[in-house]
Amino acid sequence: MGQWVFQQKKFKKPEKLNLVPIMDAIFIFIFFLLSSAQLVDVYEINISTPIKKEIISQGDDRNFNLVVIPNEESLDIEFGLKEITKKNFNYLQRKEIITFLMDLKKSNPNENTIRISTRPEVKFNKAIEAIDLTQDPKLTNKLFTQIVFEQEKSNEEISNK
Amino acid sequence: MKKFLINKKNKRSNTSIDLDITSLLDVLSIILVFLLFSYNPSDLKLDLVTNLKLAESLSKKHTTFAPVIQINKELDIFYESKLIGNINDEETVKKIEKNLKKDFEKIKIDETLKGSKSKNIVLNLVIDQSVASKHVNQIMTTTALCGFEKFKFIVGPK
Repeated sequence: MGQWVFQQKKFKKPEKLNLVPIMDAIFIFIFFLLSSAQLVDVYEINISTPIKKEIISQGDDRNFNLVVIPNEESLDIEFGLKEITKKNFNYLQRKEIITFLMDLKKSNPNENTIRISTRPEVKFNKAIEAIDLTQDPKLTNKLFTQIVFEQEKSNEEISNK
Repeated sequence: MKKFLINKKNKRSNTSIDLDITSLLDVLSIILVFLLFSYNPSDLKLDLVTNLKLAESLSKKHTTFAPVIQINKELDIFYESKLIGNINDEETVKKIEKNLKKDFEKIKIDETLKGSKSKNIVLNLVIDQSVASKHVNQIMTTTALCGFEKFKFIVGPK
């Protein structure tokens, strides 16, 4: 009797898995993903142009004017309106730049604007690198959220004014 | 004899072919995983023009839909993937102004109908990494005069 039960178990065919619904779901997924696929990974950086409102009037008591000037090898950071403080950093000094900007932000918590003032011949990727250095993606509280992109005024333009 | 034939026919119709779809499932799963990883939730569909290499950035903000201006290495300007001309050509600037002014008015009407302010009207700038800043500023000034005051630099991953 025991042998008969064993034989019956041995020859019992395994049940087939019904793969049709999972195949349908996968096909729908693939069509959806294919239609929304973008093979080039792209991201964005919000920029604004200098407008009149942002130009600080002479009667303004604020002494905040943060300007980043990217060069081919290094970048200059200028701060202040009446008394201008200049600092020069290498593109590799990321930590130092962030610390400097964090200190500035601490002393001027209401200021959100940073101006990227480019020299005419500086390549676009250097300007982007400068923007990257002033924005720390790890920080939850962003340093300076409004980025103004402008061309650095030539000495002639400044002297004319 | 007749009975026998009917039985034979029935036997034939009842036999089903077992297809081995394991390999097909494997391939589909691989495609699915690949597509899931490359999924991008941004609503901007970008067709990059030739001779344009994106500047690399650490930014991880996904792109949003807006009119697109592209400038390639040879300083050719494309508006919505259509060649307008070279940046050094005066006619190009006039053509861009004409196109943008028309589109700005359209977008402005759409935005007012939606109830949002015109402040939100932005322009996507896709610029080759080797383009000089003076050209970037030139195009920004031209487009700002057409009404676009907010821009988005489209960049690639670092």
